[in-house]
Amino acid sequence: MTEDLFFAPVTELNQRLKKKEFSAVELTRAFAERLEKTGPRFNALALPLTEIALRRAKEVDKDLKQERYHGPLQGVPYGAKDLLAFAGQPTTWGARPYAAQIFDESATVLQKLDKAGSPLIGKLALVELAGGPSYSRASASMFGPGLNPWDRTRWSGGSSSGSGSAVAAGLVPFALGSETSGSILTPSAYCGVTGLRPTYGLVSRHGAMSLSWTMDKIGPMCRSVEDCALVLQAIAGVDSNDPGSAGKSFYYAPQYARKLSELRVGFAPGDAELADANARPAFTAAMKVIQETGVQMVEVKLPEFPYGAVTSIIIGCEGSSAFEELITSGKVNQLADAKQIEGLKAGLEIPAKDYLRAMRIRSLIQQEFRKLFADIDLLVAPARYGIASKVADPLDAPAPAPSTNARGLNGLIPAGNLVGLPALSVPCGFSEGMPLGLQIVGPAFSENSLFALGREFQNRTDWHKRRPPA
Amino acid sequence: MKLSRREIVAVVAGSAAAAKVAAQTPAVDLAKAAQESNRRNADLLAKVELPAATEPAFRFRA
Repeated sequence: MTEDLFFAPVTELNQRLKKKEFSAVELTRAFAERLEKTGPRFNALALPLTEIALRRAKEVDKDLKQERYHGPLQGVPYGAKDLLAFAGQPTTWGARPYAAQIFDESATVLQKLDKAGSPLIGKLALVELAGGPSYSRASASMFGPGLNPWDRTRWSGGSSSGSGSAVAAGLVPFALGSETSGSILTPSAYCGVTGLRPTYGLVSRHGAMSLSWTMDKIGPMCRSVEDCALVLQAIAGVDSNDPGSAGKSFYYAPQYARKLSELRVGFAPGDAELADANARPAFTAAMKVIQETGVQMVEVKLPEFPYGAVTSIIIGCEGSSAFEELITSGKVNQLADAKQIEGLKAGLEIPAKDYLRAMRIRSLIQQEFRKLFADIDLLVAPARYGIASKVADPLDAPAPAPSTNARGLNGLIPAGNLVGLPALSVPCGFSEGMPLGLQIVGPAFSENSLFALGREFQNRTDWHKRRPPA
Repeated sequence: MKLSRREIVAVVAGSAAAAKVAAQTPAVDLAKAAQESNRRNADLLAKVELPAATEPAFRFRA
């Protein structure tokens, strides 16, 4: 197996499996060994599942031999964030108090991927409790700080840290992550991979840790837009076990996508000013590529709301309720991050009136975004305005005074999560040798439009094909 | 990327130093800071003009 294979897209791996260039067992073993060997360098591996994956791969080989094809993920191994239950194996949620936790049933998304013939080779590390209400250090995980394959002195981003670094380093062909407010987009941007936060309710959360019942989403982190689309197609769909299920499926249909020239794409010129100085040239160039795809660019402003405050109150309340037993039992003190411990405790004291006010403001935000998307089809903005921070740097340091009055689309991550909108992060350049990401956001269930623009962006650039230093 | 021994020591020492700083911050200060943060957020919410008929969100997509 050559090094190139570890960075090949899902479609190529599946084609080569069908041509019998290698077997599913050989492919699974190659990735599993690489993940076991190299994953710890980035604190990315939570639990290797090599033997179980090889058994599944053997079954897949039998199907492939008899030309019983089950779709593009058949025989392609993957990794999953360790907040997804896998029956009979530890599911730690990245937190010491849950180190020995074992569930009897696998999460719906893992069952779906199993059915698609994709062997799970390992659970991937995360920030404890997917970040909880807040955390102050990259080291807020029982697995240690997520280290970035592009520079191990920098963070891989949170909370899907292991998913981001494992995909970037070619340790898994794709991974599952989860997002409550930024946990897929941030590590995707920092690690230079393509990540999708699906519309709320499109992908079942049954068997996933709950942080915020009204905001949690599960999504793919991959090498390309097309890979994200194929994984989404496999994991999306109605699930009566998930009370938030939207009752919809997703079919990747690039042939039916609207012409790009018909799409109106909202952007804010102020985003260039908000970006870190070293990152501005990359973001400016990326916006030029978006424009060159032929879409209609429209200047927009985000509706004015305290998105961060609304998000914090909702996650604070729902998270502390979800973990009430952990908090009241005192086991919360076993967590790694002191800020998270106190944040969880304080969340139990948030008055109901504040939570309800936040949820009522959320209704207004939804209304305003409906109006915004009456005039445009998509929004484009930097996923993060700069590169990954140093591992040792505090994540909650006060931001330096802004050198500009520009607002750009700052706040789009919490806003998009509050409204339940899908977002795609695509690698869009580098600053100081570190990757940057561009986010494409659309109205609910507009994933095919996101993929259409994202795919064309990747046809015109090669940022998603860059590899971190060996 | 290959890190030199010195760089690896710097990363590990940096993480350890950061953890030490967090550990040294008295829990009571962090507890107060968390409560204060919730209060500040509530103050920001109070400034939003909210029509009386606005119901809490119960469907979470536009």
